[in-house]
Amino acid sequence: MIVLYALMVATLMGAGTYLILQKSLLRIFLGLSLLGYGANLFLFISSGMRRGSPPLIDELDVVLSPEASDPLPQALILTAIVIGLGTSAFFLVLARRAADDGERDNIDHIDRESV
Amino acid sequence: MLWAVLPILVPMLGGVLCLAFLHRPVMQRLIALGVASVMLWVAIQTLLAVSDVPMILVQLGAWEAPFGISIVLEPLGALMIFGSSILLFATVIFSGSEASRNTIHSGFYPLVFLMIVGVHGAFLTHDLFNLYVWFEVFLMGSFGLMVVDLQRGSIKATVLYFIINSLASLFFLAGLGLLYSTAGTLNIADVAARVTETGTPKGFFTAVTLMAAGFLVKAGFLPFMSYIPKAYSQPSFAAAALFSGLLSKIGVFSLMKLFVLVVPAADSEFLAGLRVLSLVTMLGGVIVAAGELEIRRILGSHIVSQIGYMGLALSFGTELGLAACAFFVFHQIIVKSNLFLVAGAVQRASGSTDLSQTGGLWVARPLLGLLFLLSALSLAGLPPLSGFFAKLYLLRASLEVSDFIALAFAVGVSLLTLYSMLKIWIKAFWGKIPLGRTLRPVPFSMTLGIVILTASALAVGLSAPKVMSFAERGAKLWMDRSQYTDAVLGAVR
Repeated sequence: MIVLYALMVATLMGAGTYLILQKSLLRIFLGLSLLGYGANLFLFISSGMRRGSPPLIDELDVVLSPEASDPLPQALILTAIVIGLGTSAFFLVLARRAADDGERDNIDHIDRESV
Repeated sequence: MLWAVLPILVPMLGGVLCLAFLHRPVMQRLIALGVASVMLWVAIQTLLAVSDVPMILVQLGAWEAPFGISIVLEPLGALMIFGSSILLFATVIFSGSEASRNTIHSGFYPLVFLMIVGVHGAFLTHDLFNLYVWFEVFLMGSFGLMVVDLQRGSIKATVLYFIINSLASLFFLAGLGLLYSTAGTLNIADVAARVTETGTPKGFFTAVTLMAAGFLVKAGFLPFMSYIPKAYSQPSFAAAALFSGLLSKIGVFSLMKLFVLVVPAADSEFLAGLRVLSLVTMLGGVIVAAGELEIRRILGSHIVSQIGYMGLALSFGTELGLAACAFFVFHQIIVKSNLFLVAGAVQRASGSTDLSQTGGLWVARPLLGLLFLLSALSLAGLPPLSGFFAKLYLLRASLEVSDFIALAFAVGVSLLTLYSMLKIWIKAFWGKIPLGRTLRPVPFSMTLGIVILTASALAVGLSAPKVMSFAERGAKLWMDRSQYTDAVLGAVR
């Protein structure tokens, strides 16, 4: 199970790295998103990755049993996803603005006149 | 108790109030000025509050230490907050005549306060995930400030700044995940306690390296520094002053937390690595600066060089080194930002910050020249200005561990710093006004903002031993791990 997840993280990170090395702003955006997903999955692995052991406290118990998977990383990921959404929105607007300024979707050609 | 959270709440309130009056620029200016004054008063009160108790602890939501988020107000953090509050006050005054109505309509002041909220949160929190969240808060504010008056600059610098900082955040986030799966906690005091008790767990080295990589990028150490001069010449001068005073300094402050509080003192590989990076950064920054001809780019490259000094002081791994690092950060928050404000005044007076288009300011604007000279010489380290003491304590710390290479670098780089400052001085203040250009007056509020920061820098220089003894108290608290962890985890252990 954990090997499968590791492979998924590796794939996402690899694809993301490839994409942010491109010149198109849209591809860079997709690359950053994929890297973000990779990092989030990476966080998820720290919850213990046990099958069939939801973080629920039994009726008669007071505390979570030590076998249950850890719910905290899921809360962390949720926070990271929300933050990622905000920054993604900002970047998309920025890319749109670059396109509106009449330039192509290429990081080398935005604001040619000012650099 | 309250003093530990007010540095976050006050700017938050300021941002909300400014947002409520988004379409009334005069009102916003007044609110910003009022809130910045209150913030300055709060910062002074926090300094006083931690001058007789070691630390003030707030467990958010009353969740006890390892489970909740610990907000800890201790001397080092209070010193940083004091610096950033002085800077906020001066920048708000400066922006009174710099920020146009349009810029204010687009939300300049709410963004400034949003950034300050994140910065103060990052100074105060002693929980690693919470630190990540504060990082994102002030990054959002800084992204906004970079584009708030977009017509004047370029998107490219913003795109570059955005990509690099997002990547740095991802490194930090991945490191957090790994640390949580190996140490099982993200509360800094709890991590420190566990690492001290049971030794470093498997994967700890990788986790710390990933997090350190994130901080190093944000602080602008050498291989990752190329975005700083570009990004800091993009926004308005007031915003650039805030950037230079706060953004990279938070990277350094977080490195301090990571390498002093999280990593046990026995693991000195990190510090050895940091030392090499710092030496390279110190030298690289000034060399890049020597080749630049635009004031903000020169200053931006100098930030990088000064970051190297801070890393070097930290890398000694001693109490004196840590205190010297904190003193250096405090001095930089005031002096370096002031130079950006001076650059703004130069732009206003001569219509350009390109050194080939300026000249003759010394005869026409002697006060501005004097203010620049005081800050520039302070940066280069001439007594009795604050920069002299910052370097003096650094040298003392390097002698304490008999690191003579560091000593040689620190002195040599100072001379190169002086070279760049002289370049600005000669090209902008001496010489003749370029043909076909007339000098315009510098508005009073701009000068006032610069005067406030220069006066603060002088005050820091004149009361340096006092500031240093305060920083040493803070450093002692950090270095004494068991005292620190017992204080934060108190009830649990």
